[in-house]
Amino acid sequence: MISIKNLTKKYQDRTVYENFSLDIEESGITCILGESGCGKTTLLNAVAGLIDYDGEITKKSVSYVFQNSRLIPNLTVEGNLKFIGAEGESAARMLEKVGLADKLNAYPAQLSGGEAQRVSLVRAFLKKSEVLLMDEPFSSLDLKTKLSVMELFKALQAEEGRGTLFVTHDVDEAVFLADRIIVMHGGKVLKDLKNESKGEFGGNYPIREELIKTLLN
Amino acid sequence: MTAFIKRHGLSVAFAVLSIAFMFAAWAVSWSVKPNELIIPSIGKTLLQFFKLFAEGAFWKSLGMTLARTLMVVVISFVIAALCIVLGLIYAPFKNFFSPIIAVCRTVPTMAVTLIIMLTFKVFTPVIVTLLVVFPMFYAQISAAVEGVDKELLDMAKVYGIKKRAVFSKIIIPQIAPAIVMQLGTVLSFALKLTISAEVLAYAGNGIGEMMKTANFATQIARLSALTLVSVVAGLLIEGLFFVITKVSFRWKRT
Repeated sequence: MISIKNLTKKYQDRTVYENFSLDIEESGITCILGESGCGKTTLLNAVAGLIDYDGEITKKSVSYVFQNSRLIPNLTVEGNLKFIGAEGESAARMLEKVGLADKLNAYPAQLSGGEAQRVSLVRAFLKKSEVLLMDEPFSSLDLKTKLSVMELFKALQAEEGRGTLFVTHDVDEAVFLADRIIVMHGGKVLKDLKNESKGEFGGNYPIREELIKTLLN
Repeated sequence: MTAFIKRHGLSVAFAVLSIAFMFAAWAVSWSVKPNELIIPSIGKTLLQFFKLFAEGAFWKSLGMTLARTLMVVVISFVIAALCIVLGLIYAPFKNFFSPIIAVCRTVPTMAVTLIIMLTFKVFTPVIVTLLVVFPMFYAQISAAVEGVDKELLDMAKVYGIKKRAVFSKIIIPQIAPAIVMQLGTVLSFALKLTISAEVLAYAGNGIGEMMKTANFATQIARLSALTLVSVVAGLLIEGLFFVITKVSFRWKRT
């Protein structure tokens, strides 16, 4: 369980969170859904220990898939994976799984956006951690690439069963992937829903209607 | 070859045109005032230029000047890097160094040379060049360190990467291209400064000293030839680092 207690975070004049509390299970996929600027990334960064904050958050070892891949440009794909401690063999195996076996010696500048994000996913799964954090990992991808990367994530997550906390502003992503969807606005939880409709991407499910209504209101 | 000409032909043509223009300006100036004591002819200068390479004393002097320049550049770089590391470890050091850098940057070089040459004599070129090159390196390395991608540093923090690996795999490779690219320019500039200081001060052996001797003896063609040597040396240094930069940092070219 990731326990967030009385989280308070201010940026200069802006209060993002004030005495915010939330419990997040370590298993399954939890999604924080909200519009841009509502504090989703701040929450993730607080859990990851990247920012200072007031309050308490359970310390967990994390892997992180960022919005952009954040691959080290002067290292090859293999170098990037070894950088986080992955062994050559397991790195090669994972890359084969995600269809990037031939990119082992490529530099990040030689990869497409989708390929770079897949490497970033592989990197996150190769690192042994208790929780996987993802910050709008699919937002920079076109629809076709987004779908393939999401399917890939689902396959890896099903295989490993690693608890995931991801944030997005996209309702369809949330419905497609998450077991639990928490809608946030102004540093507060508007809705906390269990998702029984993890079916087709963009499918017309009741939970989708409910989420859209909540976000628009 | 055809591909090279297609890609770079126009640039090379304009560069050659520029060199031809400079020589033409020189030739015109000489023809307007054909006085060897004012402007030597291109022919006499080039003759002197090639004669220099047969002189043992020339190579000794050139070696001394280059050695001084290299020593100063290395010392300046090390001091600048140390100052920046200190500033990174303890931020108030940055405020301590700022006024020193500002003074080094703004003090008139000739004035400093004249002040210190009586005391430091043969070390004058080294000290003068150090005072000018050190703030250049400080500014360059500072800017390069500021330019390190903070997102990569965050990524390394999340993944629990040790500081040594962050330094060697992220920070150094990120700052190296910018510094290496500028190194040729700094070296070339340092060479020019060292020679100028050698001319003014009693520095013993060096190209500057040879220039002073030629000047006293009104051997203007020889003086021009030595000037040409310093120009060519500077261009060769810049060209060498241009090639080094192109060949290294393959990841930047992909």
